[in-house]
Amino acid sequence: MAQREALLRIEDLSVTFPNRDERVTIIDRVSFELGEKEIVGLVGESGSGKTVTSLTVMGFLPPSARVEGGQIWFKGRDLLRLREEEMRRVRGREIAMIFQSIRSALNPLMRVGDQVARVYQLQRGLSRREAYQEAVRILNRMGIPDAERRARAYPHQLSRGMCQRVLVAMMVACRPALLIADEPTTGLDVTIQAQIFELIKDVQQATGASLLLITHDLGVVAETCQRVVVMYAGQVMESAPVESLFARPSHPYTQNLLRSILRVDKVVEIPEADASLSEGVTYGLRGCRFALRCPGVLPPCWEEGLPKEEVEPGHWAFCHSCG
Amino acid sequence: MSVEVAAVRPRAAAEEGYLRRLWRVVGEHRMLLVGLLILAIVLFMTVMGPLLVSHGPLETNPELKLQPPSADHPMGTDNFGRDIVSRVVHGARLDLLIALSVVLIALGVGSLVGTLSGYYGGVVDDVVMRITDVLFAFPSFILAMAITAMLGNTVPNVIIAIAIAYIPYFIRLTRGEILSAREMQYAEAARCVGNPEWRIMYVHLLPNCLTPSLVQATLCLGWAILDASGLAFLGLGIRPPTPEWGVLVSEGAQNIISGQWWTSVFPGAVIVFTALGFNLVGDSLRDITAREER
Repeated sequence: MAQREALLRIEDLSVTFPNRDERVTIIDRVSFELGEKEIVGLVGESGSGKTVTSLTVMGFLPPSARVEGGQIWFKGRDLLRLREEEMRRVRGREIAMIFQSIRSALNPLMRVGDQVARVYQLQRGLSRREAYQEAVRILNRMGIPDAERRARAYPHQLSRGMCQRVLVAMMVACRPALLIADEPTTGLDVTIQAQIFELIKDVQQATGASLLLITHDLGVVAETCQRVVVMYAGQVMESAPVESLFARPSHPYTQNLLRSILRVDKVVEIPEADASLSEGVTYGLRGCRFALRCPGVLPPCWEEGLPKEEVEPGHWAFCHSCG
Repeated sequence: MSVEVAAVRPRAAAEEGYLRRLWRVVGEHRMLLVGLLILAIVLFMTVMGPLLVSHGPLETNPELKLQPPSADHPMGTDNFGRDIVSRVVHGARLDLLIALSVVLIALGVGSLVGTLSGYYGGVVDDVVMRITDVLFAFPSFILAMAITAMLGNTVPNVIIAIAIAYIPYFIRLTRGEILSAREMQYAEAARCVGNPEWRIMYVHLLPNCLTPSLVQATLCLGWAILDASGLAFLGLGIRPPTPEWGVLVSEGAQNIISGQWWTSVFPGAVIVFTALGFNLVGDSLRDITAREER
């Protein structure tokens, strides 16, 4: 793992958002990396900063947000320092993103074929006709039956599963080196979910792209990913190869998280979350933000900085109690 | 087999949808039908009218001045003996031309500026919004009066004046729509595949934000006719002897007191009729789009 050159390396990334008069640190010194052709899962609760992290990589932060520090290295360049025009050349061609809300990610007034074709026109400079033919071809490859006819449909005429296939087609059209999928199956049936994950995995394998998969679904992570990054309240808690993480979770948060997976065949005792903790308190902490809820909290946890403990080769826990 | 069925469905739904839906919508909104009929009559009058009338709009005849409505002059004649039907019919071209140009300019400029304002927000938005506030502070007719008085009363100036008075409505409408559309992920997805900003604004966002503006545009067509003829009536817009509806009403107004009501009432009725048509259509469209939006 360490020998392989990282495609994407996020170092000490901090992002703040305004809240009344103060700025709240939503992403707190996040670091992780993604190797070539690697599939990494980014898991965590809602609001743990998974989406903000991916938006920062794409350069899509809202104007009110501010990057306070850190670097995002991609193919030897710091994405945070690129100008908008340079970033535009990176988007689509090198990094692409599959969105959460499937319906609203396609322009309702444009035929889906044209939307996909547009990517070829923009990124490869193909003519309208060629681009359209390419679009139909890729829609076909995405497992859309009767792609030629579907290409003429508007998004509202297709099912959500179909729309997601179109979206995947759009995003992989120019074979980006990095694909970010932000909860790509929200609101889909379980069977369609499985199909979409299968599709994304196939595409990833066929194009040799790296994949950053953001999800709540630990089952999907176990099946799909090679490595997992666990986030809590804007901090990385643990980062490990999938087998190692599921077999021997070291961080107390990960242990709780894994314990809370519901199983049909046995009664699961869900670790209690303290409702009295407001997010304001958590996000104000300078040290480990899990400290408030951590069963094994130690004095140094409240101080600045998280230690990076290598529990096993390639398996890091950012925790004082794991040292 | 099942795949085949699924593949055919979306297209069939779309095809039978359009005509049926049009029928259903027109059936549910009688006022839309009435408005469309009125506009059809006005349109016919505008296009065919000048070919059908037997007198020229500027053709004077001192012997037949101030004649009441008759078979030869259905709306009577004015104090130069000009046929009022002919003047009304010729005036329709000018008035509709003014109304259309006004709305096209106001809609065009308003959408472009409103899109910029909503998309970029911040300082750009503040500046644009304060300017529209200032324009909104004046009643649009007073504003149009002031601008025509300043520019001088020619047809292009009247068009520009009224258009300026209407632009803020379109800026506000478009900006509001863009603000909510901007949050939609298709904008982000479009950026994601490397679309430049202008394309996102004007190719992806604006078309999705046009519905309320188009409704407003229909209503504005009616208002523009009222404003243009209002300006002419006050002597600030189109000048006599050009056949224009406001001019006709204004010229005829002096004869009402001596009993020759037809010189003013018929042109006035045509103005009301046309404005009513646009308003009915505009109002129905607003109801329809508000309901279909859900």
